[in-house]
Amino acid sequence: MNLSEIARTTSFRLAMVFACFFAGSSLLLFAFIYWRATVFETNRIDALITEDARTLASEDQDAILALINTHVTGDFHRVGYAALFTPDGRRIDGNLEAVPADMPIDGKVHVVQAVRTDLPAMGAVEVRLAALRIPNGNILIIGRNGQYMVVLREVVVHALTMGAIPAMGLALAAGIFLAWRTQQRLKDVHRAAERIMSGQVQERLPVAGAGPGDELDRLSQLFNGILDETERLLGEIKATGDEIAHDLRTPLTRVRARLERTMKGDMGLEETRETVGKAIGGLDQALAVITALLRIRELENSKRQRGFSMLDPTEIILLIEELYEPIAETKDIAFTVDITPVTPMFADRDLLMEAVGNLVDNALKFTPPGGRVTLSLGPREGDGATVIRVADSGPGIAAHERDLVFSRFYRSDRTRHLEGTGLGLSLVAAIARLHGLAPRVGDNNPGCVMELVAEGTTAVRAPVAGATAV
Amino acid sequence: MDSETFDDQGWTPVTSKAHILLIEDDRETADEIIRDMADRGYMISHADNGRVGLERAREGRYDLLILDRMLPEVDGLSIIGLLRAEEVRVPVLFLSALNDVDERVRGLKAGGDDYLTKPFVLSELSARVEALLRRPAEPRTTRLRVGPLELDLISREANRDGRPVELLPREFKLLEYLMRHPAQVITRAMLLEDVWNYRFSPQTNLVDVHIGKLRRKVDAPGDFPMIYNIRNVGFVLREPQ
Repeated sequence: MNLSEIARTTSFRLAMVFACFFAGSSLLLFAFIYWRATVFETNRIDALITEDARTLASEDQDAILALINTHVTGDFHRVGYAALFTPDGRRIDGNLEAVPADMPIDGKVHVVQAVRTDLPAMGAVEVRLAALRIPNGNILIIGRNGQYMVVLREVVVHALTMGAIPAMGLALAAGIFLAWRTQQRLKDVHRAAERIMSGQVQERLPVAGAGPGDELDRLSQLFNGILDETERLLGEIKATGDEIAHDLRTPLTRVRARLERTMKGDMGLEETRETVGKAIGGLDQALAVITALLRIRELENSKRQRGFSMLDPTEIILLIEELYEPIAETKDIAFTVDITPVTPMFADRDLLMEAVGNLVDNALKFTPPGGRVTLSLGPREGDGATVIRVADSGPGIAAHERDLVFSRFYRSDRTRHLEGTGLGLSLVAAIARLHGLAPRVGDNNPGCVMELVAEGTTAVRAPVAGATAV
Repeated sequence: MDSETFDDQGWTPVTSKAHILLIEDDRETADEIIRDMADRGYMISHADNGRVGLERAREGRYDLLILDRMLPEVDGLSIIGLLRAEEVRVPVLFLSALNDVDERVRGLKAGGDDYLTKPFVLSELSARVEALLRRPAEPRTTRLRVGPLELDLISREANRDGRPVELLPREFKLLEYLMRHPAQVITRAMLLEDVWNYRFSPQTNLVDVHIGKLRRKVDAPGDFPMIYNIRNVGFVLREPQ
């Protein structure tokens, strides 16, 4: 990864913004220190000047002159000023050329332009001076130039260059490093994502294990969860696709054979008709599978409940009884219906009837002659949740298959060879999901029990109280 | 093959010569429907887009409209809405590729008289066409009669040639429906929808079992049969011949 690539990353840009803020705040900090130090130093020097001037003025003129001399000769840095003038402004001694114009003789420090006698080439510079009249009327001037300010500035700039600039460089380097590291991790994620998109659905995004709070890890884990579910669904669809292809091929192959036989034309009219009739039956069977699949998909996709209304499930149970009673009779199965009144449900009449019908249809199909099928409706003991139950005395469902029978497109081995689409329970499950009903499978010893339970937490409720018709 | 089973081809509806307008934009579907309807003796006109179809329907010379739900220019729902607003009372059968409960309800609410989802079997279509073309029996009648078979809707009693036929309530309901549609092919789906309000195809041969039980009571041994199977289509009740 090159630098221009890093420069485009979000982490690097964040690091740059951070470095800029850091530089700005450092400058502010140093400016403040510089300002405070200047004020402090100025006050200190002014106090020194006035103190020196007052002490000096209390001596007699000879002593003053001696001290001025010492002051001037001892000032190797040439920062100090000391001079004595006659009342009319003539210099007696000292390193000041003349009494600066407009210089008040009040013992206080003033900033004025002045020229040194020992460095005349420097010209008039800004200096801090205090002037005082000594008892014999002469004028004493003491002061210092602004050299200390230069020193102070140098110290601050020095500190800035020695401290802040390397710190900024460090921030920049940290930014680049962070950007690079994030970029490396993202590259791994990117590569994994590309492999997944190219069809390797078993691939997962890398998790660095940087701790439970790491946002990249959390994102990866989330996506991995989605991928797990997708892979599972893909597997289901693939298996179902294979099965459906197989299930469709069987009737279609038979249809083809029959039609081929008919085409040879050596059958009588009656036989031809019968063969073609059987061929149509086979096509109907294939169509029924396709229709059921489309219907399940439609129910799965349907989020709306437009056909829903408050209804008494009793009416549906009675209709189902009426519809299926003759079949049970023909198959010599004892079909009993057991109804305990329940509270009305918010449901789609046609769909609920289809679901219950499918459960009964299924039970009657698997129960051998002489067996029994019970359809019951009633509140569950305990919480009073409405339960629609179909129990049969058929072969039952193996324990390991029970969790699966209501899953999408599940087709049990025991149903596949039988007439019908084998998709009845998938349809029931889809309708149950739309109604928020929990489908359950249990053992009836012998046989199996299938239930649709309107559990309080899952059951669909009417949107508004009293909204009985939609 | 038992003596009570016929093939669909052997059956000419008594409603033939009726004039049908088909509004359908899919050429292949339209060709199939036109050929089948013509074979059954209907006169059939065809419009392949909604605007032309609406114009023709407004002329009002048709006994029935077969209307595709999705059409170019003017869609099926709009056509029926406009026709009903103009007091055109012609029966309408909806065809739709949308196998959605809501769609069906919308089609019927808009003024459709029946609704068939694609793909459908042609014999299902023709059975429904025939049912729509028939004048419904007088709804307030208290006695239904088909040949020797008589049904008293008040006392809930049936008899054939004066001999009482004992029927369970569900059998009575079924026979009443058949007698209200005499000499007319009734499909399994029609029976499930109209008699039991059941809107899907059960995997078991439910309807055949119901009809079988009814037939054993109505057509006693030695009687001429009245309830016939139409192979791959449904059933018909008619006077013994």
